[in-house]
Amino acid sequence: MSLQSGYIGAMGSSLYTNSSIPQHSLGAKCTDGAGREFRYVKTSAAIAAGKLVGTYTENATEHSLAPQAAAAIGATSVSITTGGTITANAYEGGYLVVTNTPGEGIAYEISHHAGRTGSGTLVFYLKDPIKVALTTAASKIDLVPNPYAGVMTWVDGSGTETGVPVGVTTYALDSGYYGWVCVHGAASCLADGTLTIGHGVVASDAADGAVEVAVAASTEALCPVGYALTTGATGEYPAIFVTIG
Amino acid sequence: MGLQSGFISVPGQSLFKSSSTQEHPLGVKVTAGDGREFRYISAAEDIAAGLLVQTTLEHTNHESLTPDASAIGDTTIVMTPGGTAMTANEYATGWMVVTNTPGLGLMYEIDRHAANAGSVALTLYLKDPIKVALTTSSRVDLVHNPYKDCLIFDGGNGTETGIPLGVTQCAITSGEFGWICVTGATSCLADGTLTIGHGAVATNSNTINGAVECMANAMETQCPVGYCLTSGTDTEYPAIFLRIG
Repeated sequence: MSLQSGYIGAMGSSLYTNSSIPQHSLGAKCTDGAGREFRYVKTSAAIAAGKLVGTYTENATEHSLAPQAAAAIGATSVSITTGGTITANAYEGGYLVVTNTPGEGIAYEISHHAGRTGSGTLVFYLKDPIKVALTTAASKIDLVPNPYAGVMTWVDGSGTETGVPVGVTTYALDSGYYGWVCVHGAASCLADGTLTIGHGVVASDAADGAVEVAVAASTEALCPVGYALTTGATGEYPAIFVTIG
Repeated sequence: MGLQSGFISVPGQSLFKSSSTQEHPLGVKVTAGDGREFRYISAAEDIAAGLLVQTTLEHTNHESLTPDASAIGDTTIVMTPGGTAMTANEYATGWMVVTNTPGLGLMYEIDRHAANAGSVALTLYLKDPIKVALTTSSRVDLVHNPYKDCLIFDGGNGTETGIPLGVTQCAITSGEFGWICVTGATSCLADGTLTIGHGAVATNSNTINGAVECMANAMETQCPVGYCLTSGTDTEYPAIFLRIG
C-alpha cells in the first residue's frame, strides 16, 4: 500500500507517537476534526515536545549551480555540477529550482538521485518533465531539500537564521524518526519572553525552539508564526495559535 | 448520524445561516469551489455580518494551576482553579496545556468537567491519556476551544482580549452556530482607509470593534489577518483577502 497523502482525516500514526518507518508522505496534512492541522515530518535530530521546528540547515554550496548538459523540454533528468558532497537521495522530494534564465521561475520536484563525494557531475531525476529548456551557459539551479525532511529544533540564529519555521511539536520526536507537527491552531510552545494575548508571535531570534511576541520596530524581519492565545511567561510553554498552515 | 468532521466540501449547514442546532464540530473547515475556506463556530453574542471575530475571554485564574500528581495513562486530573467560576463543560473540546515541567510542551484535549464555583477542586476528564506523568511541580493552563463562544473582535485600545479567527458571512445570533471565512476574499469592516496590496491587521482600536485596519509602521504587535484586496473607506465593508487559515 502506498503512503497516505493529500488531506488526511484519519491518521495512520497517532499525534503522540513517532515512528522509524514512514506512514505518510512528508508534508502530508491532517486535521483533528476540530480545527487543528498537522503536517508529517522527518527529524534530523531529537526534538522535545512544544518546540518550534525549523527546516534543515540551508546548504548554499548547492545553490547557483550550472547544468552540466543542456536539458530539453520533456527531459525528466538534469545533469548538474554539484558544489560538494551529496548523499544519495538527500534531495528526494525536494526541488530543483531554476533561479536564472532560461527556465527561471520553475521548481521541479526531485524523484531520486545517486550520491557523490566532492564537487562533480550528478544526475537528478525529476517527477515532472522540463517545461522550459535549460542551457549550460546561462541557466542556474538551486537544490532545495523537502522542507519537511530533516527538520530540527528551531535555531534562533541570533538574527542569522538557517531555515524557516514549519510547525510545533506535539510530542517528543526521536532523531531520524517520523511524526506530526502542529501547523494550524492551538499548540503549547516554548516562550522567549512574556507572551501577550492577542499579539502576534514570531520565531525567536534568541532562544532555540521558541517564539516571542512581535514588537514594533524590532521583530519585522522575523518569521510570523501565529498569535499568542494566552498570556504566557518566559521559559514556559503557553498556548499559541499557529497560522503556518 | 454523527457530526460531519474532517475536511469537508459540502457543509450540512449553509454558509449564510445561523443555526440553533450544532451541525458540525467546532473548528471544522469547509472549502468553497472558489478557494475560500470557512470554519464552524459558536457565538457568545450577536455578531453582524462582515465583522472580525475573536476567541472568548481568557481567564487568568484558570492558568498556571497546580495539578495533583498523575501517572502515565491517567485520563482524569484534579486541580484547584483560582477564584473565577466556570460553567459545566466550559473547557470541553478545549485543552489542558502543561506549561511547566514535568510534562511541559504537551496539551490534552478536555472531554468534560463539572461546573466549578472557583477556588474548589476541579476534576477534568481528558480525551487522551497522560503521556508524561505530572507532579505538583507541574503547571497547567486551561484554554477554551478557540471556536467556542466567539465574540466580536475588540482591539481594547491595545489591550487585546483574544485572537482573531475569521470574518462572519451573515449575522450569527448569540448562542447559535455559523461559519466564518478564514481564507480568501470576504467583506469586512474597515477601521481607517484600506490600501490595496497592503497588509491587513486586527484593529487595536477601542472605538470600532470587529474591524481590520491597514498595516503601517508601529503596528507589528497587532495580529496580521491578510491583505487589503481593494482600497476601502473607513467604516465601510470593503473586500479583504484573509490568510488566517
